[in-house]
Amino acid sequence: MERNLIWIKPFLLVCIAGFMISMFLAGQSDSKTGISQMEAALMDSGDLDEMQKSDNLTVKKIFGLNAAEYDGILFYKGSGIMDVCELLVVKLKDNDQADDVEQAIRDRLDGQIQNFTNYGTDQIDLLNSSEIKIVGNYCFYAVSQKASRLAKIFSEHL
Amino acid sequence: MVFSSLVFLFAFLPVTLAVYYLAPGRIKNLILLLASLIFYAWGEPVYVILMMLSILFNYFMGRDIDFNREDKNKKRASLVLAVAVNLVILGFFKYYGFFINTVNGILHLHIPCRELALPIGISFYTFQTLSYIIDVYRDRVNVQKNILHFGLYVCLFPQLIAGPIVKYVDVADQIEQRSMNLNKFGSGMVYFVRGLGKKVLLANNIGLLYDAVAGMELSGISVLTAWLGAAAYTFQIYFDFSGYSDMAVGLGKMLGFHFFKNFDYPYRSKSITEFWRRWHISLSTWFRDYLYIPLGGNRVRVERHIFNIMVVWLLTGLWHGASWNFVVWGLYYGTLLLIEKYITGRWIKQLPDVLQHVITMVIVMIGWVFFFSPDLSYAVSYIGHMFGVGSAGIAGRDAVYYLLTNAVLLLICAVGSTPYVHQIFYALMLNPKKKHIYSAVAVYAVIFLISVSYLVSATYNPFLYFRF
Repeated sequence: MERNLIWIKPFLLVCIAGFMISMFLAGQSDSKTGISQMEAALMDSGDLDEMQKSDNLTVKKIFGLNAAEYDGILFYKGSGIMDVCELLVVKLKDNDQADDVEQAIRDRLDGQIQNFTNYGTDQIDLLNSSEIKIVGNYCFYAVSQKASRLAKIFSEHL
Repeated sequence: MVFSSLVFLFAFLPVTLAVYYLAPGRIKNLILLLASLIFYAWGEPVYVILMMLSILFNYFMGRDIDFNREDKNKKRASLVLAVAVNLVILGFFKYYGFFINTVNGILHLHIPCRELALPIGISFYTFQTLSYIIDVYRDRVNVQKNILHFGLYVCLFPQLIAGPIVKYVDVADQIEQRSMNLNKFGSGMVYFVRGLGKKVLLANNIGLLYDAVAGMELSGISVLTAWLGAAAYTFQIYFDFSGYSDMAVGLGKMLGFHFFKNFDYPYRSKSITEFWRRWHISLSTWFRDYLYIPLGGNRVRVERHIFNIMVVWLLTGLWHGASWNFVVWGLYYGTLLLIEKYITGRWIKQLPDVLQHVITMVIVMIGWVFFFSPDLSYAVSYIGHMFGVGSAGIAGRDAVYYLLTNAVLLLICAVGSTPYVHQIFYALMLNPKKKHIYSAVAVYAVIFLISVSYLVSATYNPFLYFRF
C-alpha cells in the first residue's frame, strides 16, 4: 500500500482540484435553459397550482423591473390580499444585471415583511423562509411553503 | 436532512436502527457508513463526492505520515500538505465569496462573484480530519488502516453536519469495538427527545419573537424591544444548537458511541472565561489543542500571549462564518478574555454572584448581536438601540405587547437554561430509588408527541448552526 502512495497522493489532489474547478465553473457559467423550459419544470412540480401567472406590467409595478431589458421574466403570485406567495425567475441578458435584480428582490421582500409585521404571523414565517438564488445568468425568488422545493427544482434545471 | 424533520424521525432513523441492530457485528460499521452517506446526500448529493474525496485524501495522508515516521522532514512535509489541502478546500467553499467581496470593496473592483453553495458540515468534518492528521503526526494515535473505519469516523451521521467536533483520539477504540445495551439505548433516547424538545418547542418558538423584532424597522425599535430581540436570539441559538448537540449525543448512544457533551449550561456562567468553557466545548477544545497550545498557550510573555489569544479568537470568529461580523465577534471575545485575565478578573470575583452573572449575560447578549446582524453597521446600530442611542423611546407599545405575549416563554427559556430543571426532574423521576421511571417515560413521550405535532403543523423549522 505505502509504495502506491507515490501516485495515489497526486491522483487525489488532481481529483480534488478537478471537483473544485467544476463546482466553480458550474456556479459561474451561464445556463442554456430557456425561461419557458424553466417555467415548464416548475409547473410540472404542481407547486404553482395556488398561484397565478402575472404580466410584465405587474412585474414592473412590484419589482420595478422592465421585462424588455431581460432575456425572460417569469412571475407567479397568489391571488388573495393576505397571500404573500410569489415566484420570480429572471433570465439575464448580461450578468451585470444580477445586482439590480437582487436588490429589487430584496426591496420587495423587506417591504412585504414590513407590511405584515405585527399581524401576519403566518405570512412573516413564509417571508422569512423565502428562497433567493443568483446563479450565473439566472435569478430566483420564491415565497411559498414549498419555496425550498421550488429552489431545488430551479437548481436542477439550470 | 435534519434530525428535527419528519422524514428523519419516521423513516430514516427507524430503518437505520432496525438494520443496524439486526445486522451482524462485522458489518455494523458498513451499515452506519452507508446510512451516513445517504443522510448527507439527502440535501446535497453533489457534495458527497467532496466528502468522499476528503475521506480518501486524509486516509492516505495519514498512512503517508505514518510511513514516513522515521524521516522527520518527510513526515512534516506530509503533514503540511495534508493541513494545507484541507484548509484550501474549506477556504475555497466557505470564504471565496467573502474574499472576492472584500477585494472588490478595498480595491473598488467589480470581480464577479456568484453563489457557491456551502457544503453542509464542511467546517465540522474538516476539523475532525485535521485532528486525525495532526494526532497521527504527533504519534498520539495509531494510524487507521481500515478505510471503512476512517470513513465512518469522518461521516458518522449523528455528528456530521453540526458537531460536536469529535476528535479521532476520543472515538478510535469505539469505532473498532463498542458495546450496545438497553440502558445505553434508553439513555440515548432520553438525550434525543430532550434535544428535540429544546429545538422544536423552545428554540423555534422563541425564534418567532426574535424574527418579529428583526423584521421591524430599526428606527422604530425601543430600548426594551431591542433587548427583547437580543434575549430571544440568545435563547434561540442556545436551545437550537445545544438541542441539536443533545440529539447527536443521544443518537451516538443509541448506536453504541459515547460523545462528550458540547454544552454545559453556558448561561449560568459568571465570567466570559467560564462561558467559553461551557459553550460549544468541542470547538473550544479543538482550538485549544491544535492552535492555542502549539502557539505557546499562556506560558509565554504577555505580548505573545495577547497575540496567541487574538489569533485564536480571530480564527474562531472566521470559523463561524465568512463575514466581517464574525471577525468582529471573535475579536470581541478575544479582547474581553484578555481584559478579564489581565485587568478585571480579580476584582470582578469580589462582586456578588448575581452581579457577575448579569454582567456576563449582558456581554454575551451583545456578542450575539454581531452574530445575528446582516452586517456590521446594523450590529452597531442595534447595540446603540439597546442603550438608547437612536431608539424609539424606552418601551413602546410593541415592546409591551411582545413582553406580555412572550413572558411565559421567556421565563421557561430562562429556567430551562439552568441545570435546575434537570436536577429536579432527576430527583423526582429518574432516581432509581424513587421508582417513578414510568412517569418519566410518560413525560418524555409527551415531549416527543408535542414536538412531532409542532413539526407536522409548523412551517418554521430553521436550524441556525447549519450555515457554519
